[in-house]
Amino acid sequence: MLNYSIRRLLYFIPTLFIVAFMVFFLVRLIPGDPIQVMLGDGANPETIAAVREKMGLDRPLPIQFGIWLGSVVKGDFGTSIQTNRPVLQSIRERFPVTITLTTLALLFSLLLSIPTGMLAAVYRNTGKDYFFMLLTILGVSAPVFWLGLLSLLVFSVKLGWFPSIGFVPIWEDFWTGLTYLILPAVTLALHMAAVVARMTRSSMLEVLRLEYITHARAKGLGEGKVLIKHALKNAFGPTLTTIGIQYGQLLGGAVITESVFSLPGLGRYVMVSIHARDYPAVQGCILFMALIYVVINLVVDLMYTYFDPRIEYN
Amino acid sequence: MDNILDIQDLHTFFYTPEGTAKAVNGVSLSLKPGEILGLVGESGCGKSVTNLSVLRLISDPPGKIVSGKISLDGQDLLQLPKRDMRKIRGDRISMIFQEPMISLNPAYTIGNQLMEALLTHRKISRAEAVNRVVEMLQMVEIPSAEKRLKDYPHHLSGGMRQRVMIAEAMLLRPQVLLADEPTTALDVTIQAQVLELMYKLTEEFDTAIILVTHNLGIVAESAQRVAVMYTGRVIEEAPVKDLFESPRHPYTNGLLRSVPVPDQNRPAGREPLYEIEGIVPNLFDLPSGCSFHPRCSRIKDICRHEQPPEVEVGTNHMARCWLYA
Repeated sequence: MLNYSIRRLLYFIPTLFIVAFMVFFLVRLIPGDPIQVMLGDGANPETIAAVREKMGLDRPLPIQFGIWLGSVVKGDFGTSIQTNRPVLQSIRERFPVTITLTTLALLFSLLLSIPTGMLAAVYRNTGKDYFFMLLTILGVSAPVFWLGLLSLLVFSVKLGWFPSIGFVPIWEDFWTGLTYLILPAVTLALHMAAVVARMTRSSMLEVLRLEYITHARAKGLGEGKVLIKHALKNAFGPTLTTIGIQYGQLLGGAVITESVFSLPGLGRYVMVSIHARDYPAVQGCILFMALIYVVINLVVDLMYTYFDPRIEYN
Repeated sequence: MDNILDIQDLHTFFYTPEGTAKAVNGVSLSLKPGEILGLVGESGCGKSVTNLSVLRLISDPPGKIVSGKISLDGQDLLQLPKRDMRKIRGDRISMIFQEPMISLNPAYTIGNQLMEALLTHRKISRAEAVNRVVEMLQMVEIPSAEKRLKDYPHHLSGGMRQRVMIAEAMLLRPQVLLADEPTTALDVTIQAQVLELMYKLTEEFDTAIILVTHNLGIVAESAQRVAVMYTGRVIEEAPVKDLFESPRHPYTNGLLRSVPVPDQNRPAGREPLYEIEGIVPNLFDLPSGCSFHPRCSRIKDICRHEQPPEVEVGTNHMARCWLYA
């Protein structure tokens, strides 16, 4: 298992290199000039040229890429063009907000999806099943920004159940912090919940027709124990993979959700940085998110051995 | 002696979009304590569904036990509330499945699954439960039983897994064991050992067995009585010796003749092995009258129109055929 983990960590290097390469060139494909954005429309061309030279943005792209990569390897993500602060410092400040948001969203989506998927499988091809699956289709097809705006309108503005603007970190005041996070987290969770519920349903159906389920019933176990202990644990493997992949969706969704709910997280920072063509900030954030994503998926793969003991990592 | 298990006129149907499959269509069987009843027939004749019906494990929908009576020691199982039925499963009636590779849960250790079977029905301490489980594993001759508790099913061979299944089924000393093709999936060399173990334990605990199989050899060796099923009905039932020596129903006769007999001295250019003509009819669309009539070599006119009655053709020997009515 340790060997496997080390090997997997080594695989991170090429993956992250490709991400770095793509994000570096992709941000530069966006029309617009960061110096122009920074200095405003009235700036004279000489000043722009001077600033560009000072920041090294006048050099050939491959050289810029090399220099950036070199410093990233040393743990230096560069300095934000917009705020003139180290990118890593901004990431460090905003990351806790995003990880709390996505973890909460993950929690909500599992709480919603696992029971829904199980019930749909148990009541397969009945009204209950069709109803749940209809909900999941809505969940998959509703765009996050729309859901966010709508829930903000209904639950914060109209009903006043949740604050509509502002943010209190959950680690400073848990309950108040939670009220600011519930709405964005639920919004973010719905899409993933829908996908995971469908996956849970189909893998439960797969498992429920197997002989060891009949065997479990023949032992005299109650239906709850048959479903949760004997069926769900086996059905959870494929679901777990989906969860790992969907976590990427959560990180992507966080960019939109944080913007809609104005949460000071990494996602909103990426959004603002893209608007400002703040190359180092965008590159740093995306690379960091990619790192989180691959780490989460490693954890998911290691958890697999718990749900399916036949898998051994050697 | 009173019967431990009495199945009377059991009907189990499956309602599907293609129609109603009458998988078990009026089966009556009885079992005395410690007796071994062989239940034979081709696939799809309803023998497994009969077994599952006894434990009320027919998945509903699409299946349903439509009518009949199943009494265990005088108590009608079909009338029991679900809770009470669960208390009987695994305790007074247990089951062994065909495929040990898929009948044990791959996600839990052997120990976990055996302990679960025991602790579901008995209020005993864990330590005591471990002792009983280990003792049982030793009885089915699993080497270093204590260590095996922590093994997962995939660590064991097919034969070992089936021993584990037997250990589990016999853990609570049931009155009835439903064995559904218990050795079909095993290597021939291991089949005999596993059966031997099963009989040793059931004899010790006075457990009666319904042995579902399509292997007539196994039945000839171990069962006291045999019931032959065809399209959801028992068409012949007799003590094992009578059935093998003088089968009365043309289907039973064909079944016996289609088994190769090694020591029969047949000349070169010998007759090919007997084959019952035609195929098993579709359960959705059974022939009128006797459902065997399209394949029968001794057909009479009445066979086409009317269901044959049960006929007493010898001592404890029943055949459902117009030839004897």
